Amino acid sequence: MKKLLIVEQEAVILEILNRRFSADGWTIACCSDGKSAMELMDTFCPNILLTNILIPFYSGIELLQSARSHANQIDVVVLALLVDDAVKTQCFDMGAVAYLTKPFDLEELLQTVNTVYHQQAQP
Amino acid sequence: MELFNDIAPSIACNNLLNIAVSVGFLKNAVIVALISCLIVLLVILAFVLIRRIKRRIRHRFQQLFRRWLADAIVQLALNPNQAFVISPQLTKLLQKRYHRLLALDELLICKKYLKGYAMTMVVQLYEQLELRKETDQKLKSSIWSRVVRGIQEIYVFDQYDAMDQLFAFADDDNPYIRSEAHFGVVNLQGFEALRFLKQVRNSLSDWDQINLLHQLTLFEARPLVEMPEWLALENKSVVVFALKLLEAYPEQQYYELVKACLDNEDLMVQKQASRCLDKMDTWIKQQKD
Repeated sequence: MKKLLIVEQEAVILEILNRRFSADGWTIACCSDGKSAMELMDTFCPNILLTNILIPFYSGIELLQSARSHANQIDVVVLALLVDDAVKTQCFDMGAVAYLTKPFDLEELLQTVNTVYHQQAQP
Repeated sequence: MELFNDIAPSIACNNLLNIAVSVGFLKNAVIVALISCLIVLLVILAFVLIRRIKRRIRHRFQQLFRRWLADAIVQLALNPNQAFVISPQLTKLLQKRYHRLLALDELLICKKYLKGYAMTMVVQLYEQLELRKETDQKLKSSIWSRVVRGIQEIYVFDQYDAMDQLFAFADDDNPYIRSEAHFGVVNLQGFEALRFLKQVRNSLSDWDQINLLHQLTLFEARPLVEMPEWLALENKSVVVFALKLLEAYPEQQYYELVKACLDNEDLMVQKQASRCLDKMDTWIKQQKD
């Protein structure tokens, strides 16, 4: 079962992502803040974490750090509001596997996440 | 003595009467105060209750709309040729202005976040639901924050036919309104929209200038044909911005005009002209090499 944890502050975007990924066969857990995301990483054990950078309580960067040091070594796809080269470099240095900026194409995002999952599945 | 004997009981009687009256008055005062407190409490309770009901109605509608919108986008992804249908329940709700404004807020977020077919659908929905009427209402508002929101909706939903309305706000007395209008026109038309610079009498803030320069990077560069007019304007903030434009997009033909700006009475213009000349020199040297 492929499991995805989505962290996004905008409820409508969270709903759209949830529905789109569910329609593609993903099991989804959603939350809108870093604190809940930290808990879900332990209880839901996702394969991939899709997170925004700007979220309440913990930032996306802190989540990324936590996901990489997690026992399951969760892969992280980052969604950022602005093209910021410094943040992008920081994310990749910390182990993010993909970095997309808003506005994003839903199908492109789906494809990126699926590619990451398939790469995980390969030994 | 006899007189005293006559008066004394009447004084005592008066005192007793006064005490009785003041006790009665106190009793009444306490009752009135209690009733007043009760009324205030009831008003507060009613206010809190109405707020909670309103919040619940808003939350319920937002959830319904979000679910419908997400489903419609997913359906469009799976069957691109299928037209989206608005459910009768939602159609009925969207007749109310309050719900239309809530829907507009949700669509605005979607348009900012998404591109591709989902974005196209959001714009289609904005037009199909005739939400432009709400935007136009906001543009007419006397509250600046609503006007700013209206301007934002115009450019986010690519309403090119409203360009004139945006240009009309470009020299508004309110700095927030004119700042949003500048950003809006450039967001829609890029370099072409810079014609508003000639009509601006108010100052162009540093933040405005940074925003505009950033926004222009998203468009293909065009020759700055109006540069001589911009450099001759009385509004010094526009002259500074024009020089910043030349610094970012150098054109050799304006070299002498920039040089002339070194003699400008305004210190900011002088400084910016110096920076611009420096950049132009490097650029010209690179072109020759």
